[in-house]
Amino acid sequence: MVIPSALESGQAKSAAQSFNDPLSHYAAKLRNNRNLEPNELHSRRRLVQLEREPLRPSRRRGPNRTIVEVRDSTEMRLINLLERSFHYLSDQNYEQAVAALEQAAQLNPKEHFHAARTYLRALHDYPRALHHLNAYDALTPDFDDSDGLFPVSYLKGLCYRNMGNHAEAVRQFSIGIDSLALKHGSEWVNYKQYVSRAVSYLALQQPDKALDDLVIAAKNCPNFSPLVTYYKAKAFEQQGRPDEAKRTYQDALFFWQANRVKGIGQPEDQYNPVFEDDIDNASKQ
Amino acid sequence: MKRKHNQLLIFLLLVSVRSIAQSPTPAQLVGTWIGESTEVDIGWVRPLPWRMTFRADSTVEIALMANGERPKTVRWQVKDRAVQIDTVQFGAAQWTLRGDQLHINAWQPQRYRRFTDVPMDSATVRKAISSRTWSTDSLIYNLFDDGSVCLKNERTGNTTLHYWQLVPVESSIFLVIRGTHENPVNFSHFPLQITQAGSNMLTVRGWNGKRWGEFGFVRTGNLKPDDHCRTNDFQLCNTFLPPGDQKYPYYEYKKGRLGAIRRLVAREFVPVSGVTQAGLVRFRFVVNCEGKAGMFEMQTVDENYEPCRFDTRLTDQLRRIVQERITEWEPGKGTGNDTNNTYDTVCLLTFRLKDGQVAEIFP
Repeated sequence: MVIPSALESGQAKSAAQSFNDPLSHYAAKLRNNRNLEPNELHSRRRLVQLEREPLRPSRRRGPNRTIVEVRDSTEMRLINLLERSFHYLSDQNYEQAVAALEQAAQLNPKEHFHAARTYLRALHDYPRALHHLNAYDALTPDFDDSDGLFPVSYLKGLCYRNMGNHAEAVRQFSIGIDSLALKHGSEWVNYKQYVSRAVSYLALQQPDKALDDLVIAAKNCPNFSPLVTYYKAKAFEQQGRPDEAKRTYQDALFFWQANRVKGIGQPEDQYNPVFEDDIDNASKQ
Repeated sequence: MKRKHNQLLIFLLLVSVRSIAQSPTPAQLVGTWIGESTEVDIGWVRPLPWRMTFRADSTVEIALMANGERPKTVRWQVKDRAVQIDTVQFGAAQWTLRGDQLHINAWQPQRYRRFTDVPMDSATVRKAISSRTWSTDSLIYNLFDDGSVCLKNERTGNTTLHYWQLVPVESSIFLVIRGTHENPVNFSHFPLQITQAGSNMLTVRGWNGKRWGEFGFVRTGNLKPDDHCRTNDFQLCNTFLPPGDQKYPYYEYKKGRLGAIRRLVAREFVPVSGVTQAGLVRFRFVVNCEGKAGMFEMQTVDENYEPCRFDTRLTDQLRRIVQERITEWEPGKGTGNDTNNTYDTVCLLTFRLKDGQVAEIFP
């Protein structure tokens, strides 16, 4: 598999701006910004075109616009599959999307990551997500890859956690946290990683360790977080400190309502969704 | 006024994409053209309620087909076979004239029809059609005297509320139906030129979404003064919005969001013993701009994401919970500077089933 040199050498930004050239636009987006919004690509016209026609052969343009040189039919097929998967995702047709991504992963093992993320986020299919994450992680055994926000180990930890294996989840979360914390300091670790590890500690009945993580999470979170506060209260509860737990639940509820005033009505972390009435019910108990 | 101008520019820009076809001569363009339809995407044709009047004095009048909408007059010219309207230039090959039909070939192709004047008296037409029930081969129109119209689709049983008006173009009269229960002026239907208005028969000329032609409306009843439109509970606010333009999966539920739904299902769903099926049951529906849910569809796949059929004792329970028990939705809102407006939104609610039980619920 040939990765276009232009993409590797920093022309990706202009590639992403070249909307008239689907090859360069999508390829650049796919390789450099995996947080692509499916809405960007929605058009039945484009999907039908992709299903009916193969992509056009390689094109080379002037230096300002030449982004992707498609060197072989495998790469054309790969880009076609990835484009189709995004269209299916934007149509919320997740089954077709993962079918295309499975094929894409066979052509390019790096696409295991994309398949894993779709299984994890859209289908909540943790065993399949884990399978693809392991395959992706095996490409670089000595390096914990990242999707730009979270390391692969974190996503693997989420899979294990949702499959009920909290001990392995803690181990995976720790790989991601420790590698960054030891190198640059704990303040560089996304607070949601600490929350996720704390949730697993709580499931393992280890509230002290959970509380340690949540204290760091609270420091790293830019705002008052109902999510962090809610799990702090849970930790207090497990430690047998009911008064502090009740007070902390009330704080969490206050933070949630404050967020609502600001127009934030959704849980702050989709992997650890905490809702207003979760907090409300817990505080009443 | 600025908004109108922007609308006009957007309208012109939408069609200013290069394509290959033969362009008409300036003399052929002179006259009035009535918008038929615009193809937004494959399988999605939207009404094009615009009128363009090209004059020989190099002015063109562009107007929405609605009363009270002031037309915009700008200049036009043909230069090097390219047509320039106001500040927007269309490529030479972008315009195609086939008989009395004008195609603007673009990413969203537009079709116009040369206007043929059929003089009608507005007061006479109003008197003939108002407070009457009219039927076509697919729709029943209840044209109320207060300007509202109830459209009933006999095939689907769906009844929706809109507003009607008679719009004059030269000496002709167009029946224009627009608006929804939520907003009386948005989303025009295909304008219909009235060519004959009798007490029992109404003949119109226009595009019905599938073909252009003359259609007959047969009077099937009279409306009493105290009659009013009885719509279904659910009506889209954005009638002609293709799915891609609806906001991307929006998900809020007034009573505690997903957490409340999970608790509701835990309370009301009765596991079915002896069923070993596993997979996903996904409901796709629309929450309209008022927070009402409708247009439910159910899709079922097995663990390998292949379509399958689940035991109806499972799916019927889930269908009842989703359609009847979860009712208080919050409408989807715009993003950025558009957070005050609400929109029809496509929502998903997925149940992962295992051994006759609900293992997980997610959007």
